[in-house]
Amino acid sequence: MTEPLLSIRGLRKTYATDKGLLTAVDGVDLTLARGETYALAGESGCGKSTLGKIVAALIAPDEGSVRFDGQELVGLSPARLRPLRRRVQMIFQDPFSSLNPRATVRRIIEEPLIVHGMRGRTERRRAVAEMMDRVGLRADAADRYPHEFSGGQRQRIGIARALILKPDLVVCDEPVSALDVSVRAQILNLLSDLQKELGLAYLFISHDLSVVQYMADKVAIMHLGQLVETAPRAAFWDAPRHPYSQALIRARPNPDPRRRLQDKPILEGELPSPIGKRQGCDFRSRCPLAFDRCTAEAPRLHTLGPAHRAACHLVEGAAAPSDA
Amino acid sequence: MISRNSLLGRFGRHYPAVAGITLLAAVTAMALLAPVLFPQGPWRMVGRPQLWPGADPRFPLGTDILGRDLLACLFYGARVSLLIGLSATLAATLVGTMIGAAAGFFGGKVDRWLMGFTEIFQTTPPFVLAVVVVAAFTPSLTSIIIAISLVSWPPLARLVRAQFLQLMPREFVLAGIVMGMSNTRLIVTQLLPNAITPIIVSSSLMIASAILLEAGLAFLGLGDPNAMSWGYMIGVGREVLRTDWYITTIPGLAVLLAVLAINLVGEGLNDALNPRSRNR
Amino acid sequence: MTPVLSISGLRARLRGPDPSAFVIDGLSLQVNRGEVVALVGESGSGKTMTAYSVLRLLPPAIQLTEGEIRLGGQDVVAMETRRLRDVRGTLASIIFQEPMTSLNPLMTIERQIAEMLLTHGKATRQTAPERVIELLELVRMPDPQTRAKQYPHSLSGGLRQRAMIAMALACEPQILIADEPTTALDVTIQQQVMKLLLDLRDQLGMAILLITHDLGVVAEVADRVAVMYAGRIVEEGPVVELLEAPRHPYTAGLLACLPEGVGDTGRLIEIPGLPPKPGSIPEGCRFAPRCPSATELCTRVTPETRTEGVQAFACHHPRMPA
Repeated sequence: MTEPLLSIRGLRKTYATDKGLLTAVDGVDLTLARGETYALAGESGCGKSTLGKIVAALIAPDEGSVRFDGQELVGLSPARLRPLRRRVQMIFQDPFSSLNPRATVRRIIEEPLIVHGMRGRTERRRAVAEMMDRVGLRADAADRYPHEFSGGQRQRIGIARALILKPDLVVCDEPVSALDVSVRAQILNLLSDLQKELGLAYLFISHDLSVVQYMADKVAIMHLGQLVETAPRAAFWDAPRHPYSQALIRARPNPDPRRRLQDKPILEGELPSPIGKRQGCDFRSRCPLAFDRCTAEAPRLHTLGPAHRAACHLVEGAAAPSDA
Repeated sequence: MISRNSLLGRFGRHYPAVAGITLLAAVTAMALLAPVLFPQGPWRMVGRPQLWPGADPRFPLGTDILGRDLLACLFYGARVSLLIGLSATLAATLVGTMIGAAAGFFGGKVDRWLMGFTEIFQTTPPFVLAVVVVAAFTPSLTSIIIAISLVSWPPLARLVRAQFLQLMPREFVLAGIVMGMSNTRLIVTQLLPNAITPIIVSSSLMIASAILLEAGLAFLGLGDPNAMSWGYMIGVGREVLRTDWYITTIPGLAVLLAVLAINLVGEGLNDALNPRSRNR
Repeated sequence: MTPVLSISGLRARLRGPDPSAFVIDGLSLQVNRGEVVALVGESGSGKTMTAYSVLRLLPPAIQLTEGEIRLGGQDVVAMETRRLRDVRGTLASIIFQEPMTSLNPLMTIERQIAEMLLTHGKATRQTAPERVIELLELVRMPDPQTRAKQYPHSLSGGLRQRAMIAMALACEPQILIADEPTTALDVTIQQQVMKLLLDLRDQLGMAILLITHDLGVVAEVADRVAVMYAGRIVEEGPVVELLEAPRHPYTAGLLACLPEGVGDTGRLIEIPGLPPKPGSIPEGCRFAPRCPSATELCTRVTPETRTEGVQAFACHHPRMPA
């Protein structure tokens, strides 16, 4: 078997806060293949954004390993990291804060090329013009400033900036959640077209399961820093195994007027605090199926099929015996 | 034509700022014209001492206790005040920006260390510190400039640090890191351009406080004995303050007007550069 | 029966040199007792400004130029300020998207709700604390005694929104205007808050005007839907009919470009282009430049709103009814 593009093992990240130790990422394992979209979904504060930033080498983890194309990223010196950076890029959520307000669109898209030492102004200009065309920006946009554009247009600029270095992996951190519905469709289509054309792999972070369903080949659900379920597309949507995944899928607002909120079962209770020591299953306070063991013992991830894992005591019986 | 929304356009509609810039232009003209109008220099004792303004048409502003022409002194004084104001500000801005930028950018230990260092300077009253520094060296233009910049940079460092702390988590800065920018490049191309407005504004105001500091030092006799400054002039008139008050009042008014002018310009710059006030 | 809220011919424009910069341009809408009406649109469609105008909360940059707004039969537009203050909270209340910024960070939850009660003479200093706890219980605030003494920042987003709702309901308004009340919340919390609003509607019989961009939420909770585009309502009707068989191409487009609407091609349907900005509204039908079924007629003549069956729409080439 060939080496996966991205392989994450035992990743942990904590933050010291006034109230105690906050565990943002708590022992995450994940493997991403070339050209694949792996979605990371969960509620706010579940650690999905932190995980994305660790992969983009914006944050150093406390423990664990991030291997990109066979090379370990954790603990690499800035100089050794630089050549790898052009292969791992990032698209951000907020189209208004993700672009330097004092730079022209051309400058913003050209910057990565300058940073990575691409010589020849005309060559760079040509690359910028090509990329702008590819993401659907008009050529006359080049000399204007970010504030002159709408959210969707600005997100296109951010995409062009991320892709001009021809990366292998792009971390997309909620790339459409700040956009209007009609614009969202344009950007999602663009992202999936570019993925096919350029053979990109996406680590796609989103709280919106509808977007995840459209984009992702594989889905990972995070809850308080831990993966509670990872599954290939079909397995996730047809047979989600973790009660939290099931609840999230049910909670997703669906534009079907015959499925009214009053008839739906909903999750009661609040998310437990990520600060301090925790015992048992983190989801048990909201879980409709919780029983004694959930308080006493934290479930570990059980392998249920190819790339399908769930961390719940209830799936133990169905788990393949050889899980590791 | 200047468009209504251009920088100049916005500045131009700010009448106090226009008044300020006019005054400032006058002071600059005085500094530049001094050697042309008074080729003999400010130190020559050209007339009877303590001539009141208007008493002798040759000396429209009168003479001081040694019979030096107050008008000539005022013109030469503008040179020294502007020179000290500008150079001290420039030095303080450079130091303050570098320290503030480093603290804000690197954070953590570097930040704590640099801010601790900054606080040492801020806990001593600036004027007292300046007096100590100048007294420790021999009073000269250079030592005065060093002393003034030494006491002026801390507020600027704090300002730049605050700006950087605000900008660091912005996504375009993260994008710069992800694309592999070096720290220097990140600071120069992404952070500084977005922090420059308040730096410019507070630097422009710093010129005024530098002029005041210099006047204070010279008044206490800590001015450069070879430089005719407004502060020196005020100092000279000190002994005859009760009888010939015009000798201190004239340079005093000059300081007041120059400082006021610079403050007005600073305010105008602040309004013109601040994007939030653009659509008012 | 008079509707709780009735807006007719409302127009509002951006103050400034351009007299044609309308953000609301001839809008009429009614909300009846106990009804949940969703006002749907993208950002810049004017939906939030419509909500604000009901309580005369428009920002200074926007000026109401024409139209009538009646709350429980009383004319809000012409109302004098003192009377308006009485109306706010007792006839109509509003809750906002970000409860953190709409609650005063320096006051306890109890103080803020009590303030509301005292202002409107609904309680005395003595009775207020008890009434506050009742209200917090009404919005199913867990552990209301403790929460009442806390400041907004120590509450989670969901609980803050509950506190906000308790405050809005303190004077038992006949209509609650909810401006994207769950947009800032996680899906599971969003469901709790929406369900709470629906239960309160059943319990208190108040109407809800829900301002939202999310058709998923609309499908789950609304009785009636009005779709806004560039300052106008382009389609209105009962939720089932409107979402299952939209007549206006814009409504259809909004539904089609949701990821749930992915067709056989595996691609999302796009609505090309961007909504027009106030002041550069195209002539004729304002959706025509982005509309797949637009003809020459659409670029010339503004379509009148017409009613067929239970749906009303403003389109020259409506889609087929179900």
